[in-house]
Amino acid sequence: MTETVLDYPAWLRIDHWLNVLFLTLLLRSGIEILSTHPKLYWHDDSKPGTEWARFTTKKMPTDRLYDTLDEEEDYSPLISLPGHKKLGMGRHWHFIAVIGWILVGLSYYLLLFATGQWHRYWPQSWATFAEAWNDIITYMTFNLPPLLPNEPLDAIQKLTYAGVIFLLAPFQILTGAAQSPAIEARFPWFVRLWGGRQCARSLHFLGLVAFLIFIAIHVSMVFFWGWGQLNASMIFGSVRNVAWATVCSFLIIGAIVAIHVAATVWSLRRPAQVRRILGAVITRARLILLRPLDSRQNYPERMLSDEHRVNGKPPCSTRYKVMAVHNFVDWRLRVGGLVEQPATLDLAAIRAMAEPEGQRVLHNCVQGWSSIGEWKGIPLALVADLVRPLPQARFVCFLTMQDNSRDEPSSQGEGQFYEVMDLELVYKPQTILAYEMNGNLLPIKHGAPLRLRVETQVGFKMAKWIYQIEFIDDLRGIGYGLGGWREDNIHYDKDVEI
Amino acid sequence: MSDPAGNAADGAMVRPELFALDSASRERVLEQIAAKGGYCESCGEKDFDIGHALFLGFLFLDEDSDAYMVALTCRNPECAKPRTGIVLPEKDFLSAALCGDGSAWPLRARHR
Repeated sequence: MTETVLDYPAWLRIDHWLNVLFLTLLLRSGIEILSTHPKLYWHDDSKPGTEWARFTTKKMPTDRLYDTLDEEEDYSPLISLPGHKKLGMGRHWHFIAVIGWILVGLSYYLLLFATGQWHRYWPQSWATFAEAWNDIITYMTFNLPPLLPNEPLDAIQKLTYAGVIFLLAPFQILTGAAQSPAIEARFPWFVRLWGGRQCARSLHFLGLVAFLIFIAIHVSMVFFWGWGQLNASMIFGSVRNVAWATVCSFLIIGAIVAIHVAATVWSLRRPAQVRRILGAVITRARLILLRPLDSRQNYPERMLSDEHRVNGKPPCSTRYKVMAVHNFVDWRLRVGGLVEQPATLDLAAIRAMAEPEGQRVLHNCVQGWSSIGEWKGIPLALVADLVRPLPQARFVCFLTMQDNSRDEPSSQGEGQFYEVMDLELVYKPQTILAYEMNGNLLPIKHGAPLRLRVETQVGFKMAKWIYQIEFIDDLRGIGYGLGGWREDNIHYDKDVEI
Repeated sequence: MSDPAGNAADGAMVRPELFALDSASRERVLEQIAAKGGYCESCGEKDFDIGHALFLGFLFLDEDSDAYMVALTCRNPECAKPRTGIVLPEKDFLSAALCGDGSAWPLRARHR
């Protein structure tokens, strides 16, 4: 037996309550993210009808094009943060909470091992497992098992905490990371390790369920073992002032609930402010950790998805339809802004610029679904080389023919769809303007005649139905100035490596 | 696939949503243009070449479920904007060969 006194040092108590805060924020914001595509799959094509779990009763039409915006669910703020189909807000809370959770977790690991407190979770011998089984039997007979000698826990508690701290928490972080397009693009083997993108998403969900079950049992155990005594240990460090500890426990829980309520109300009322403040932290972390990653994908042909879901509906303008029925011979791409040599190109000119660059890659929708497609087009860098951006150009703006006021009743906002990305992404490997998909011309529903592919980003950045590209030095004058239609209207983040 | 309007004359592929009309269907489209008094918005010309058809009913929210657009190319060589189109319901132009036996449905389904 260790000589370390397995008590409740201050750092352990502080980390415990911070963990409660961050974990509950993660759970609610995770449910918000799930609500925008409330279906889970074991296959990367996310083929309609093949989901193993669905949390929606919506039925989609078969005689009309529907898109994944139509499939979004409106969950209550009681279970999701902030609720009401606010994916942009849910993502901000999820990512800020995960940063906090990882920092708390790292400090916890560090101090556990530095102080010898790790013994409280590590089984001394195989006998602990046998004792844990006996403890389960004891609990099932509505009795409390004995604590391990000189330890604050019984055997099953010890093993459960070990499983949660050393297995479940890292599992959630790793399966979450496996859903980052930048990580998937740079390390395709990592996502394959989990069985694919949708397996990682499904496992991440099962991890959420495991945490919910753990929390329910944990709170029940605290109740049955003695709410006041155990909370005294977790608040004061020892069993004293039990009545006051009970009061304090409810004050702490009340404070955590108050933070949730405040986060929910703030997100529903002032989403742009939430986006700005949380985004300042998240974006910095994302650009440091994920922006350097380059796409190195080349999936085998046999893995191509038969179907590729649609997000965003084709432009309903007569002009677009007339161009489409004439094979887009009258379509032109204007490239200008802060460039030395503006250009206007038709499809033939774009095709003539270079041999098509093809890539078989995993597509990640911000909602969580995916598919594997083969795209062909020209590197965006070639177009940039043609027009020669001026030194002051920092961003690229893609203007599309889609008007969400007219084309997308399910969208929460209106006006022309556009997206802005940082200039450096133009020069990333596998950043192309695609005019072919899966061996055929780019379909109308997927952005014909030309769409963007930036494989380290989430799907909504890859503007479809493009007709104009502008090199700019400031994005604040476009739309509402947040870097894209989704950013302006539904408060998505502009830089979306995850 | 034929390309009566010359859209694929440069060797470019014809997009998968488009399909060629047989002569009977093209004739019916011309009849519809004449019946509706159709003319080129750019130059006023009334003669058109008939091109491909595009099933609109599935892809575009604002269209009836049986709507198609047929490509029309103005025959006036001086016309500044020769390419246009006409929206027609299936029953008004698709020939029996394409429609009557239900064979248009596979055409539609292919483009979903």
